[in-house]
Amino acid sequence: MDTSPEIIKLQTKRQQFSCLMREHHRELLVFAGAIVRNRDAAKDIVQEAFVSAWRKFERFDEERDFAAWMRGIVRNKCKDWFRKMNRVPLADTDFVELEIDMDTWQNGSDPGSDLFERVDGCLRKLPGKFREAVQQFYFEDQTGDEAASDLNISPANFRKRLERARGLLHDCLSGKMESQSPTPTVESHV
Amino acid sequence: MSDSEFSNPQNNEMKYSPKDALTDSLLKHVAANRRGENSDEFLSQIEEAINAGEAQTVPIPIRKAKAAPRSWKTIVRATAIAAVIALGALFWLVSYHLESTKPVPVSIVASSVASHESELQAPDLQTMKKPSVSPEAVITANSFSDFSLADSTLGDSANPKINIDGNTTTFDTVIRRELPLETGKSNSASDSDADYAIVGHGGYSTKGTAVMGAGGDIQVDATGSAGKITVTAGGEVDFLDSSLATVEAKPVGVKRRHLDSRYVQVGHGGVEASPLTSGHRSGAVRVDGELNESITLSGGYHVPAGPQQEGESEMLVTGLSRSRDTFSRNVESNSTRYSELIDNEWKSPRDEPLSTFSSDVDTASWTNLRGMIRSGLTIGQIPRDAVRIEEMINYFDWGYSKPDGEHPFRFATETASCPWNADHQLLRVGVQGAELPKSERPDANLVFLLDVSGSMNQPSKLALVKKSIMVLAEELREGDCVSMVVYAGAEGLAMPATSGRDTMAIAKALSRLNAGGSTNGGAGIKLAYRMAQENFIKDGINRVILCTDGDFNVGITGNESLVNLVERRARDGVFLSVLGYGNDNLNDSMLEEITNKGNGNYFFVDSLQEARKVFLRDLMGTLVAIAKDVKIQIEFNPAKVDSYRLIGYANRRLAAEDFENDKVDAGEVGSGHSVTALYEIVPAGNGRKDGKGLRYQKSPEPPLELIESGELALLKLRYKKPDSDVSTPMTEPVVPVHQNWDKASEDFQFASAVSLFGLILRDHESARDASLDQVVKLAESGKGNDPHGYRAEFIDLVKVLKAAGE
Repeated sequence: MDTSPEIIKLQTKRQQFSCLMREHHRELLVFAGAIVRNRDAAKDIVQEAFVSAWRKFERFDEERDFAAWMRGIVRNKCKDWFRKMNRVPLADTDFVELEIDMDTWQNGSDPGSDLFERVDGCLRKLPGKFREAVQQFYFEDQTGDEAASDLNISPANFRKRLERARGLLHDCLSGKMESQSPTPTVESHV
Repeated sequence: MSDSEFSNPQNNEMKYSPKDALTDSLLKHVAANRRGENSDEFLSQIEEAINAGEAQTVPIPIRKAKAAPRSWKTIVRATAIAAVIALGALFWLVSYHLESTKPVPVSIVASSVASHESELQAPDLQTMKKPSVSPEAVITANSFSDFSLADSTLGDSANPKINIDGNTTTFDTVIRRELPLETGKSNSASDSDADYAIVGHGGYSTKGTAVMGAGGDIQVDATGSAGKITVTAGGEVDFLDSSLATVEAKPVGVKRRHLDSRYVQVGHGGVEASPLTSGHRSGAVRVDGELNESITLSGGYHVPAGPQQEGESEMLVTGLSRSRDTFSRNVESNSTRYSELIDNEWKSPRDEPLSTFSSDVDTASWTNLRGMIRSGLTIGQIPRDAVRIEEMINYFDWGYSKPDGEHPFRFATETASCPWNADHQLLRVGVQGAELPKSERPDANLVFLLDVSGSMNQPSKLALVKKSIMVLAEELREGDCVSMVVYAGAEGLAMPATSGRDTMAIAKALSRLNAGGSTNGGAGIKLAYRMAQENFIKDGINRVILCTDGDFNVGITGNESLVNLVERRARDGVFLSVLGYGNDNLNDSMLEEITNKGNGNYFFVDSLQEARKVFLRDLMGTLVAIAKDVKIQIEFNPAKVDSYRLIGYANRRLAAEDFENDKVDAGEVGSGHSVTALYEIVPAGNGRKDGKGLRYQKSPEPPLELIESGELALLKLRYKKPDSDVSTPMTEPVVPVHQNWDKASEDFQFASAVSLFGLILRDHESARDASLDQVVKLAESGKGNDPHGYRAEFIDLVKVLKAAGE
């Protein structure tokens, strides 16, 4: 086995990178998914981003925030993707907003806690019908129309409910939910 | 859940706010995880992409050593997998012996097929891609049953414990593992990365253990009835390389044995494979007709030479990878392919005054023949088309004077009586190329393209490749730049561009190389050319050096496009040299063709001594091409020559009109190289040899008006400077000297010995009455001082061949 110091150093570096990948890939998938709105594309993008990141990793300053660094790379890969798909990319302001939101989720209310572990807690805090909407649409694989007809509400109404649920979830994950009234008022019977 | 709620493919306007989109994406991720989508799978994909990217797209620092990070596990894995296959094979063997219902204790200790030098040294095939389907080797036997593939998700604990059916197996290192075989129980053993696993369900009455230890030794200790064992690799290595395939032989009335195909040495007789369709992993092999050599199989099974009795030597091949191609590679152990060579015929200068050929400085044919003779083949067994006389002649050093005029070439002609036909004359045409002093050698940008497929895993192959490269590395200088690309299941960069001075880096990269996987030459050659292009040295030597043992047409479809690629790159200034290692599997005609098209050259390397010669003398010489598209044309004088025949150059003939056509490619000549051709000549007035002594035609035909000349012929040569597209001509007349061959120079005599030997091997009509004794006599007379011993070796080998035939 090659045990020269440089090889060992590289291997260590590589292992370190693998750990960081494991730690951050989910958030980056979510981030990329929000931009390109396609989970498979998001996976490709995150993969490419990590490949690029590894090449630059030697130059990465360990003091810096790896997540933020990676988000920058993912952002650029997303822009490439839009170009490749011949689609209009997001406005720069949207990118900025997404990055700030993501950062708030990760570092806002409870820095160091696992975002994904907090999701369940926040979902539980959602008022019943919002939780139900999320459950049906995201976790039970129903279409908006199916869920709407199950609930005996209009599809538009269901979409609104989902949107509201997401808003609440977003706030909760950002550490803002407690301060807000959990009672929605928008949709009743449109 | 559907995307339609949020995304509209026709319109990418953000319908929702960024935070809504982010939460949506988050929920989709959570949902995917709940559905069981596996992060590990995604991560390992990325790891692979990184590893592959490491090899292919990492920015290459030019002429600066950079060690790429590598995972050494892969090699261990590949090695272990090979060993696992061997284990399977052994297990099968055991089981076969145990086929009878009454348990028989068996204990076998065997050395793994995978034991080879530096196997645990490391890493390199990490760029191999994960096969879409886990490769597996299924070892079947009559009554073992129930073996299944392991679910190889053992995590990465250093001391994994597996619990299957209540049995716990622990193994302590990556390499050593123990597989308990127990009646009715299924057990599996896997390495700590779960990249491969052996799974055994005990047969009806099987009991015992299979242990694979460090170094690849396998011990199987079992009793029981027959069965089946499955080996699977979930990892990155396509280990089902032909060299690891197993061959079972079932002679009638003899116990079936389990064998490794690498030990199948089949002579040149017919070995036929029954139809094997793509995707099948087993098939029958029949040895048909007469075997020139006996086949020895590692299991002790022996197929004697001579006519085969029906059914006597049916073999079953298992564990093959995919295609029929591989299968034939496997079974026809001497499957080297040669293009048919058609000798030049007698020509009359009245009809065809011009004889044109391309320069040829390859020597592969002689090296190959040498190997055949050493291996004990007799004259009849040497394939005629493997004998390229011009390559035999050009193997040797000739003491021609160096050019001193304006041209980088000098003619060296000599005539004497023909040793094998006193009525004929022999004309030797030598062309000596100028020698550039070493210091004047331009910087070299060398890309080694190394075949690391499983079949290279032999001392005469990959190990020799490594040694050869080291020999060359010691000659390299600061300004030189070396890269290495490996190819097997997939291509990868083994060493980025590194300064020629950095011998240590080269040695290190070499030590990491290991053979495993199947051959995919096409993709590798593209990467190699890319490397060559990226590090292109203007006015330097830019060359891809392919080291392989054979099959090279996977990846790019068909020979044609590969040849095109090579031809195209040669136009861009990157030339190709091919070094053939081993002689069991060479696609000779293919390699010959691609080097001809790529302005390249082609050598066989069969020993370190040969490596030294090829790398230092031929390659470093060849590396500096003093001229390209070197064409030689000889115009014979009908007044002196009744008919002539060019010896050798069977596939190097050019049409007379191509001589002056600068668009027609020909060979290149390197620094200090010489090109030699021999013509057998029927002097005028000595009776026609071209079959034109015809009854109904007036003889001689319409009289030609000839210019009075004592010249025998006019030599013409055209060459292009390496960086030029325009050729320069040079000419020189040949004035015949009438002398008996034994008065001719030693070089002349030795060259005629080599020619005669070639003619005999080719069973050429010219040499029907000649004998090997004559060759020896001629060669001994022309041996000269022979500083390197090449001529003495030639004489020895002719004697060996003679003895083999007696």
